[in-house]
Amino acid sequence: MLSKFYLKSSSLSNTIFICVIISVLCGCLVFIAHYQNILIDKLEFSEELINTNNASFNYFLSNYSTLDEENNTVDIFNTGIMTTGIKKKWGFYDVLICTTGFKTDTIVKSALIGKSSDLKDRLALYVTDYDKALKLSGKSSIIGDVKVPKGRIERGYINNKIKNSLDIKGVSLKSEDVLPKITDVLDHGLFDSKMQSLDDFSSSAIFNAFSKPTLVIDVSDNTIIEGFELRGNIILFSKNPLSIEKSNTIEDILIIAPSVVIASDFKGNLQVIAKENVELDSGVLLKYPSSIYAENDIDSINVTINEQAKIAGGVVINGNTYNGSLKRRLFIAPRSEIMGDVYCYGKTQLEGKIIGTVYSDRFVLKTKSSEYQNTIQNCNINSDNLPKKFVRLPLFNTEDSRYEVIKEF
Amino acid sequence: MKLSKNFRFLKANSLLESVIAIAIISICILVAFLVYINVIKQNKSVINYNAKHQVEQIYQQSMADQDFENENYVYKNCIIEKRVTILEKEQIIRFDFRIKTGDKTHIIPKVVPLLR
Repeated sequence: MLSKFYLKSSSLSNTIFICVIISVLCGCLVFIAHYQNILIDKLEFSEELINTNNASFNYFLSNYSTLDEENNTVDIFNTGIMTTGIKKKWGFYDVLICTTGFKTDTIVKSALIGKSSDLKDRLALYVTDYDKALKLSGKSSIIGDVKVPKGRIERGYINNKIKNSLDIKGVSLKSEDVLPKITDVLDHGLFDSKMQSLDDFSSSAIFNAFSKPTLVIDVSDNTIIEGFELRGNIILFSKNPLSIEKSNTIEDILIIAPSVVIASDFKGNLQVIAKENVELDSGVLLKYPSSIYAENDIDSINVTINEQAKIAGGVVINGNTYNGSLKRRLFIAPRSEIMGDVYCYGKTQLEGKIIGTVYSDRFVLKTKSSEYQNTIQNCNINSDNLPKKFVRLPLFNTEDSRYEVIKEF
Repeated sequence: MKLSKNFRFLKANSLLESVIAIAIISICILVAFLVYINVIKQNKSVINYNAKHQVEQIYQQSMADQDFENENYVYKNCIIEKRVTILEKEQIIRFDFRIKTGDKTHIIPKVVPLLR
């Protein structure tokens, strides 16, 4: 009877129990704080890795001309964090790939780079001297120094129109009897890579990073490319003429085909390497850095920049023989625009706007009634308006040039 | 009377139990406190992050102004020393930003291409 009133105090076991619960809670808080610190340390290390990668990238950029294709390694801050640099050609430009790794963490930085030179030797126009003076007619303006036959520009009267509105600002110098030779600017290393077909890809969106091997897609069976999204380290290769439609989203890729037509209103960023014809339809916008390169000594080349088409980068038509140059033709239509360099070892019909420099072996003006030799009508060339940071095509070897980043991937 | 009889059998905490309980609680508090202090000590202060932010600003400004002179920047809670070394052979400019916050010193190095 009395035993049911016996109340056991058990303070020790209660204390231990409460202590365990409080310890578990405190432990949780401590663990959270501890793991947060680990996370912060990891973030700081990533930051350091990125900083090392950026610094090494700048180091490789500064010493780019002395770098090997591969096997460039540097420990820039002597911290034991090694960075590897790889360079490769990408159309007119180069790609520098910089990889910094430590244990399982890896940071990769890739960028399109090009040669940049000082502004002082920027010409607006160069025309080869074949003892035939350059004639300018219509409403034309040339801003910048020129090198033209006999060192002078004459007025031309097309279809007996007397009224010309010419604006020429800059020094006129005498040109040579040959067009300045361009360096071997292209080495795409196409045939080192294994070719794939478009059918090998399940998705219409294809991306390939520059840190991976180049993806060469053979589209010889597809004459029209439409509805694709192609970005990065990709070469579209075709043995047949190719048409790129407006519905594509294209960035940074190379297109190699005998003839390439870029359909109206296409917007993108690409480099075209062709042998016969290249045509930019009206309203095409090829963003910087885009370029067109055509080379052929046997067959004719026709590159056409149609009305309201724009390209930022450059257009190069080249060959090795004089006879071949007679079959190479560049047509820059009215209201079209090219920003950068235009180099044509052939005939150029220029009626559009050029912000940059034009090198042409000769000019031609074809009207409904006749053809005028070494005549330009209604052109607008301005080399001063080219932005200071604009990295031009590496056409000539200049000693004072340095490498600069055009675009980071 | 019956109730008072029952109270006679109500046993209180023994002194020993209480002492052990207090000792356990004290040890737990001490251990928790030490661990907590250790964890807190590792935390990076806001001053440190602020200083890093300042370094980035100084670096960007130096690049924009092409200012490659050594300089010291004194802020409320930290001092940033900018040291610039031009390495002609490697064609680079090396910046070393030494951040002093209290008794801690931290260096952030940066490298940029040497413009000719």
